[in-house]
Amino acid sequence: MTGAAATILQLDGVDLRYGDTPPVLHGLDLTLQAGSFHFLSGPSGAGKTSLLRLISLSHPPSRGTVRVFGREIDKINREELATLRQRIGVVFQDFRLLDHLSAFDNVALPLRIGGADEEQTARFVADMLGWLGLGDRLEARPAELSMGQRQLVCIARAVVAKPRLLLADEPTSNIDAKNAERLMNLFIQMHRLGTAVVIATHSAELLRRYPYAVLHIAQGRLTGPRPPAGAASSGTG
Amino acid sequence: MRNPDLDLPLETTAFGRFLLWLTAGLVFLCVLAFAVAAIADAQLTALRQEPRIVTVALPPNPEPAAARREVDDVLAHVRALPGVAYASLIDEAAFGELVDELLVDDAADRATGGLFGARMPLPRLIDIAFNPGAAIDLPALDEDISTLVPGATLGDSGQIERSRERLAVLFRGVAGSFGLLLLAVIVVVVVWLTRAGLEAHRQTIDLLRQMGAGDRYLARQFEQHALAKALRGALLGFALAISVVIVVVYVPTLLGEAPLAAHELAPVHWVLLAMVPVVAALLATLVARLTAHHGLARLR
Ligand SMILES: Nc1ncnc2c1ncn2[C@@H]1O[C@H](COP(=O)(O)OP(=O)(O)O)[C@@H](O)[C@H]1O
Ligand SMILES: [Mg+2]
Repeated sequence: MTGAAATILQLDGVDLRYGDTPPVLHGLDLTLQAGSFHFLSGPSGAGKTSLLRLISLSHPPSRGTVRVFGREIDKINREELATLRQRIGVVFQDFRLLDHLSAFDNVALPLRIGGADEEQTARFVADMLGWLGLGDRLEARPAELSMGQRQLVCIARAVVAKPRLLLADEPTSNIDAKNAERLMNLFIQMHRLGTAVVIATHSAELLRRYPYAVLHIAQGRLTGPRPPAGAASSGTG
Repeated sequence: MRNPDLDLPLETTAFGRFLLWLTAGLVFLCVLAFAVAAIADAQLTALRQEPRIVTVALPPNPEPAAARREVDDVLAHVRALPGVAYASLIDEAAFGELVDELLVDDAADRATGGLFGARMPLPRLIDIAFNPGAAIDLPALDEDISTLVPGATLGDSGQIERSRERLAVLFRGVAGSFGLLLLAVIVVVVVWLTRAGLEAHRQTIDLLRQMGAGDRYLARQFEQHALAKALRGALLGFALAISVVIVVVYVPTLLGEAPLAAHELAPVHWVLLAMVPVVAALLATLVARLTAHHGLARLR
């Protein structure tokens, strides 16, 4: 699995700072291959969400270089940046669903932005929500859904356009164990189909149960990837 | 299944709420302004269609043969000019009676031959009617006629007509400019509302960008929304304004009173008025798109 796999993301000596405050991420070096799977662990406030913002191209580095899909992001124009972002799915910790749109239309967003036709969009979205057990809630607004259901909608939106890089920020924090397992299966499925997956979590339980490499972050500094916690080094990424 | 809602909830902010009503109000005023301009233009056309009459006064000449020759000379000269519809001597007897009526106070006086006992010698008057729109060189005409008959003078009875003409031109210009000014106000309003919309939906815009939405995709949302709202507002304003115009211009005619505007609008005027809401809506759409593009380029 290693070797020939294409590099999807490369960070070299990257810092990230918000405004004039001191950097919250320091000198990060990281390479992610296509189809890899990583947990991103660390205590609260360590910088997990910040690192995901950096990788998802929603916040620029204050130092160092970020390459995504082989493109250095300092050197591309706005339209290219938009195109690169279409290949990245993000599950936000706070969901960020659009309140005025139905579950269906929320999930349809990435497809419509990517220019998919309506027929295809309808099929993909209905399949995805059906698979997540929300087949009868297509027309419900976020306000009419439970927290867990909103999280599922957010996840459906992140994966519906089959991104090549999938980032999830604490995706299992609002759902029960059964749905958490269902979700992990979805992520693993995506990973098997070639999507690089990074899941930020502070759940030791999750790290124990799933045998994937772990990136550890503490006080804005990255260590790892180290091999899976439980299993012997079963070679991922 | 397809929900026609836009990704950006533009309905919920100033952009969506005010655009329709502001466009309606501004288009209402704009159509009224252009209607005034159109009525003034119709008046102007009508005024210019009326023939213009200039009167030549020849001094009295006691010698009938010479007098006759002078009149003939002037008539011949004038009839040869371009743009002259006709020229004729005003009947002397009729003219005399008119003068008597104006100058002599009562019937008794008139019976005794008036104020001066005998009628004083009268100038002879020649009316020259020019075709509508003909260019008239009055100073040259004056000079020619004084050469033919020393002491002859030129009187232009078109003074009043021309001041009405000037007034119509003034009205047309002022009202037309006001209409254009209102279109400019629509532009300013749409720029302002679009900027407010960009600001209000900053978070949603960031989210859509995260999913890969480019400036074009986002600007199109503002554009579509502006088109829908501005078109409805513009048609509403147009309908109201046209109702007012019809009431003011045509209802007095139907009631048998003198209408406020004496002349009906031509088809071209109606077409121009009907274009106002369309132009306003397209303008709003274009401005929303350009402003959104401009604003999005500045948002990081
Ligand atoms: N938008 C922001 N502006 C300023 N500081 C921020 C912002 N987001 C996070 N931080 C700071 O950056 C540090 C890392 O936060 P975060 O990346 O959210 O960590 P985690 O996701 O691991 O809890 C924290 O000190 C936090 O206060
Ligand atoms: Mg976080």
